[in-house]
Amino acid sequence: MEILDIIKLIIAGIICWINFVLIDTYFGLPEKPGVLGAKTIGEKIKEIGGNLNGGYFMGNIVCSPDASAGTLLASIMNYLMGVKGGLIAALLVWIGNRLCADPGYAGTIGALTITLIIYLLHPIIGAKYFVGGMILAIFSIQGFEHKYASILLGKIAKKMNRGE
Amino acid sequence: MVNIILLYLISLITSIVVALLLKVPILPKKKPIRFSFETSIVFPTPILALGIEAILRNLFGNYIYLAFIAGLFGALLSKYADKLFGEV
Repeated sequence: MEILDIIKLIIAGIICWINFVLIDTYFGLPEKPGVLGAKTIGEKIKEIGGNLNGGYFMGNIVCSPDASAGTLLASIMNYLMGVKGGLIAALLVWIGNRLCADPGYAGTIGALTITLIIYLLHPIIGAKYFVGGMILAIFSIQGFEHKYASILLGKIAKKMNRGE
Repeated sequence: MVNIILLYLISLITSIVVALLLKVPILPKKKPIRFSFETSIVFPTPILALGIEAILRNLFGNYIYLAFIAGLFGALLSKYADKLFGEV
């Protein structure tokens, strides 16, 4: 049954990736850096040959809890407590957003959408696969290869009219 | 055992009614909305009310009056978010 576990983990990772990238892009993370730290990260990524809008996206993820953190925290809380855990995660992500000078749309809506997805899929894919899958998804953006990840994010931003 | 969906609905409606009484705008006035820090009835009032309801229900149990309190606190937190977290 181990192969089935790995397949579930990969499917959950793909769902998490689509969830957080689309929501973060829609709420304008690639458009402008929210704080100075995000601007510095964006410019640094441009220096190594990446895309500036993709760099802003990655900087904003680091500097405040956006849909990436919302997805991860809501997956963990769903695993621990069920649907009410997802709602608590959305509240806590909003508070964290406001403490980080961020309006909080992306983080809370990311937490709520993944709660809905986990609720709909829980007979097939349990919440624990989404915790692991989200770690893989965030590793593919922030850990693996910054240059090509930022170029990909820049292309998605351009497609959704959220960057140059 | 009170129906959980009823509790969520009570907290949701209470928060919206209290937010209307406190004159929270229905949508933020500043455009584009995705960069606006202004709190409104659509966002984040219902989400705060549901989150507080979930916390109170987990701590104290399924009671209707807790759902009312959650809605009230959700609306108050939404109204005074700028004073609590600092204006941007």
